[in-house]
Amino acid sequence: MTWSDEELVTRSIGGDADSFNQLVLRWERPIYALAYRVIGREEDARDVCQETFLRAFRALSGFRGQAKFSSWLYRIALNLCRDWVRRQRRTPVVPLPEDVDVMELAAAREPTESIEDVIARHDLTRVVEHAMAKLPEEQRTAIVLKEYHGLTFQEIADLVGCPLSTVKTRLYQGLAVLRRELGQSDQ
Amino acid sequence: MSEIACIYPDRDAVLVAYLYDDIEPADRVAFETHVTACLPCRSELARLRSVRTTLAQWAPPEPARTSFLSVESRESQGPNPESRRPTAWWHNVPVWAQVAAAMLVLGASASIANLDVRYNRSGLTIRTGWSAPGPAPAVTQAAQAGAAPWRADLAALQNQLRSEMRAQSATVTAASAVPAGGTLSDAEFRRRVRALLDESEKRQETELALRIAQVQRDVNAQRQADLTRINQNLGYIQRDTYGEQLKQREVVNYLLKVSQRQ
Repeated sequence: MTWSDEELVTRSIGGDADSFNQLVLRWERPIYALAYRVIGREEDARDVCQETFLRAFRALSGFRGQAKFSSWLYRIALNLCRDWVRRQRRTPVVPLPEDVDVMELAAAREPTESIEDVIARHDLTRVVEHAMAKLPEEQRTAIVLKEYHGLTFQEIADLVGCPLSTVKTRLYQGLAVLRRELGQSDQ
Repeated sequence: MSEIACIYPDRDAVLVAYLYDDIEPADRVAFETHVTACLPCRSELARLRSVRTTLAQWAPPEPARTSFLSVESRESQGPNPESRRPTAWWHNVPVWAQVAAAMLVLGASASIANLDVRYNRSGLTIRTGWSAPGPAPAVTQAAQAGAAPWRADLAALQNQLRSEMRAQSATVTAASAVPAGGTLSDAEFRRRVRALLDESEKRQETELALRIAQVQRDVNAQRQADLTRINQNLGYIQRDTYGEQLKQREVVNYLLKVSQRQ
């Protein structure tokens, strides 16, 4: 039987540790992806993901079910991402060198992927990441939540705590910047 | 890029809402009608759709581990019931306190056993038990006077440790009363150790892959060098053979000429 998030939360609060594990298994991938796309660094995204679940675990008894569990989780993750971005502004991390060893990439490729696919994927990822990194945090967050997590404008507005129209504006402006950065102005 | 500005009310917001299909049906119909007649909006929509197509191909890298709690859940569901036993409260007592407690127990045992250790000309003498013949009263008093500060210190340490352990025990009990939060620190510690191990494993795998790649590259370079050398040698052989052929042809020609003259 598949329990809903809210049912699993209730069971976790009742002391069923396995229910919380199920919640983690269900949501860790989206939370990691969210953190990665906002932060842009794999290790830090993993830390944020783990910290999100730790905080959720500690605060579980305080979850009243007024919002969806996923929204609550997203909020925790976004707050952590925001903290990370602020810390990053104070002490920027030295970026990795531009040149990446193809052999290293090959070692990390999927078994079904050819080396050409790996390189193409890597190049595209790098281009998009660079473009995304140029966006202000608010625009980046709005795009990530809408584009990759399929949240409605209203849900994003509730999550980040701003008016609906602001979310749309941020999204539009962000996409316009990406369009320039991705070199798609002449289509 | 010059573009005629569109004057559709709240155009950017409506456009982005239309782009993501997160728009009221009436607004959608209205904007659709507008887009068919408005070239700037149409081209802007096409450009943003293209951006979305590119964005859709961006996938974050796979995390090093599938699930950071899966190991823990496996452990908790494992056949060994020992692993599910609640953490003993003394695991939370600092190490120094545990050592001090051990010394205290030793000291207390020694005093209860009336341990008497002497080292003189006749060698090392250890005597235990209350029935042992005690020294002269004067000597006993002196010994008691000498031992008194030690016993007082011991008693003070004992009291301090007891109070600390009581406090620690109370904290642990309070923590375990919180639902689903009792074994968090241990779980977190296990998780971190596990994560470190996994990272190290991944690093080693990457290093191994890199070494293999390096060896492959070296082998390829060596092969290339060998091929070049073989080609050169073949060239020399061909040149020599050609020279030899020329000489032989000259000799044959000479012989033919000589034979024709005769």
